[in-house]
Amino acid sequence: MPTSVVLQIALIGLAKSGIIAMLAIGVVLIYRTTGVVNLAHWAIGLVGVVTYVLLTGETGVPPLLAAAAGVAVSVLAGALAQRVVFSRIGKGEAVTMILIALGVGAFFAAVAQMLLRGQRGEILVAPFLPGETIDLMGTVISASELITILIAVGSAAVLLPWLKRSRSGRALRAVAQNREAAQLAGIDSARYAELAWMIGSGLAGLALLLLIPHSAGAQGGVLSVVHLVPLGSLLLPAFGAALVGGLISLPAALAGSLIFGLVQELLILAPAPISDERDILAFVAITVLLLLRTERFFASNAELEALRS
Amino acid sequence: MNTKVMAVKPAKPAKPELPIPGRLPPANGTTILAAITLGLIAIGPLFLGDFASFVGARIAVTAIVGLSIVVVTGYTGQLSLMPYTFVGLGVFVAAHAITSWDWPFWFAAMLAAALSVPLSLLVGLVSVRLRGFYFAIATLTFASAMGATLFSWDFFTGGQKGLQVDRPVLGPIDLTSDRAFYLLTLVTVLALVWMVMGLRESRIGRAMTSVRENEIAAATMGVNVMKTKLVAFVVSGMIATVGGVFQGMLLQQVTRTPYQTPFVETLGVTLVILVVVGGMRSAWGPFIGAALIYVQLEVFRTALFLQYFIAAITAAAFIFVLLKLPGGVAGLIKHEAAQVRAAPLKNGIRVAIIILANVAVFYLIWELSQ
Amino acid sequence: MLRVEGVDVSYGPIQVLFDVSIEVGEGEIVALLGTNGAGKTTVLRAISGIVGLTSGRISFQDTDITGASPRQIVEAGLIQLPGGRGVFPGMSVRENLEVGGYVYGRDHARRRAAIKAVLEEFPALGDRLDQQAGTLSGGQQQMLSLAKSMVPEPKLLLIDELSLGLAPVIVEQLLGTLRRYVERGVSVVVVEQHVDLALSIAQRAYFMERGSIRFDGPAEELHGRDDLLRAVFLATATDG
Repeated sequence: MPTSVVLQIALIGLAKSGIIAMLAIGVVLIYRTTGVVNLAHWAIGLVGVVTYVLLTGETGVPPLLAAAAGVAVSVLAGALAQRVVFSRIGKGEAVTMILIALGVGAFFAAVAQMLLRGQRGEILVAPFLPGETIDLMGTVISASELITILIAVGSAAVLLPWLKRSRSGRALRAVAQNREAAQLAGIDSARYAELAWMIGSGLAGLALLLLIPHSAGAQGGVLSVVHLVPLGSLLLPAFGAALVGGLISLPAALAGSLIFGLVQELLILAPAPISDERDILAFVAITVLLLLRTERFFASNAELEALRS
Repeated sequence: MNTKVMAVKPAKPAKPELPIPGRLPPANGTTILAAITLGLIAIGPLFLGDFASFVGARIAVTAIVGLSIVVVTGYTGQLSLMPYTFVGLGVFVAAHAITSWDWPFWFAAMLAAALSVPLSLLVGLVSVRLRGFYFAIATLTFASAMGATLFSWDFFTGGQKGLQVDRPVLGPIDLTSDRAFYLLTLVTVLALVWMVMGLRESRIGRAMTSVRENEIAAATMGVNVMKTKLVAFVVSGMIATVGGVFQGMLLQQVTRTPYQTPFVETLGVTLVILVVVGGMRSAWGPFIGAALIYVQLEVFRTALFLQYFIAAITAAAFIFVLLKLPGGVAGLIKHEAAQVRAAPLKNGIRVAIIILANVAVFYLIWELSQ
Repeated sequence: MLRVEGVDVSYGPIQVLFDVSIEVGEGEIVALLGTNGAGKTTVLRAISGIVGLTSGRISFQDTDITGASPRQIVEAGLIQLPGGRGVFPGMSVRENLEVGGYVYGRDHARRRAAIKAVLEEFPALGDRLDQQAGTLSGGQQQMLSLAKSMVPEPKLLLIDELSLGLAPVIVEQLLGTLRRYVERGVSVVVVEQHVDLALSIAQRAYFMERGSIRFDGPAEELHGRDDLLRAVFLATATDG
């Protein structure tokens, strides 16, 4: 096996890891601050993608501007979901909470399809990432993959230090760890819950936008409406990655994303039965993570109690 | 003497909240009226033609599958995101057993239900110890895993082309017409509703509701929590699989796509939504929910935009029900019926106005969409 | 300086406070006592703006703070030390103190100065600035909780259960620090299960039962009211 092929596949895997990571960060952030396991995550990202598709397709808005607008719409959708729905549910009603998240997801998915005016056929999607490939010492890399990796690394590199060191980042963590004590320090917990939703939702929009080159081809091109919905199928690996950190630890979730994306692509090189059943291996991994109850490795009992009550 | 004794009214025994199977609820004016109305609605599609019968059958089949959610989520409080995996199992078992092997449909249904048991036991044994969200994600993971294995198996699903499911001929009764098939599904769903109602009143049913309300309290009262959850999951899987057999006969031509990517196809979500809107703690809930949604979808079939609009409104209604109306529409009907019984004139007029207003809005939208 | 007048509070359909009135003077230590579930914590939460009132009004230093946000109340100098473990367990001691100074906003210099001043009062914390709060002992966590509440320079401090689950030696230590703040003019409201402790530091006391105030007056006078205190003693005895 030539190393250039391995490298190429590794890069594809890294790009996938990046997209999974952006979704996983949102899942963790939202769960930690508000206790919501956000099964609506993909649909909130989808609304952003549809915004992009509509803006580039009909009004001829420059792709980069349309992508920014798409992210903004996702941010708005997330803030709306938190303010109108999730802020009204008491914690501790786990099943109701998941059901509501499913409902919010179904709502935004329906809105996304409504915005496309129920077109069932195929729609033309403009690319917003350059379609070129770069030859790097015999390894052919597509620019869109490289950019995806850079954006993912960039968002983690901005977000983690911001959470760690800035005043708002600390306040956000304070709300996550002890809501009432945070309020008593003068922190507006509702505002920070909304902020967590906005960051997570924006990242979801960005992640799904970065998926367009994978679904429709790097040159842009035909994307069937039916294919918009499976953009959400990455949510399960994203949950898997987040579970590596018990839905609590961001660094562990990032490590999990790296594993889920990279290993799954690299297993293509493995001998036949393994390479064919990569998806199954991922599902087995997620089940094992669930059974391990990974959250206890990352939070004390007191913290978990606070999260659930 | 006898009359004298009878004149002394004995204290009325407390009425059970739901009718116990095998015993009809005591008839009074309201129940008879309600029964007649429901009966007319139920046989209505037969007079409206084949298409209406098809829609009626689809409602009935969806209600069967929905009953599986009533058992596992409504009664036991565990959210399973894999009902459509069981439906798929039923669909393709029906295709093989009925069409290829020429089995009678009820025999195929029994085989499918039996085959669902090992699957639900496998999933159940791994995941019943998980709670809330963890259980939901575990079932979703299994659903995805089945999509990548069982439903990607060309022999089982007929590959891209899919498979054929024949509707049965029962001796002299030919069920290939939509009207006859509708009657069959109606009878089946009513029988299952009756059984699920009975389940709730049974010992294991009470164990289920106690697990839903408070696992720890249930355990201290001697309920075996794990076993109860497992039983609920297995029963629910059997119901969904039987629903799948009927789903196969309803569609007649079946393909694997809806079952391969369970979450993203949102079919499973739609099912959960209509059960919750109908009332997930009532055996009638799935029927009411399915009727509400499919009638709308069929009426506005020509306007695709409205289809998604209805989907959005339904999702919003679902969220509203979860936040404010835990009993769903079934609970609402029960509540209103009690109100009407208490003050027939005042509340009767109010309810009638609400129903008429709804019909009027519905008609208006329909007129506009034409 | 604090005046709570005729306050009613409900959680959903259940009313938990009935016509509660409390007054705290400048430099005063007031104890708020009562049985479990009497509504003491709810009174503090209402004062801090965490729960809304259904009727009544609250004023602080002659300013009406009824319906004010928790942040406005903290900015006014009315600080509450949360009950139970009031720290942020996943953060370092330093970060906890920083969050305590959240209301200083972008005025980093002022926050730093305030933290420095607090660390002089709590030298034990100075040695552990980078330790995770969750790994501190119970007493140290409560000390951090108290220190954190001192960063915004309170004029009135509301304390929910200072002594809960702590050894007497540690409680005495915390009280010593608290007294030094009182000498500098900080007023205090203490909610306590531990009646003797509360009455030994407070000048005046309120006694609550089932959401209403049953007694208010000098602390020594409450000491003599066995009829009221028996319930509390019984509860503490069964709690261990």
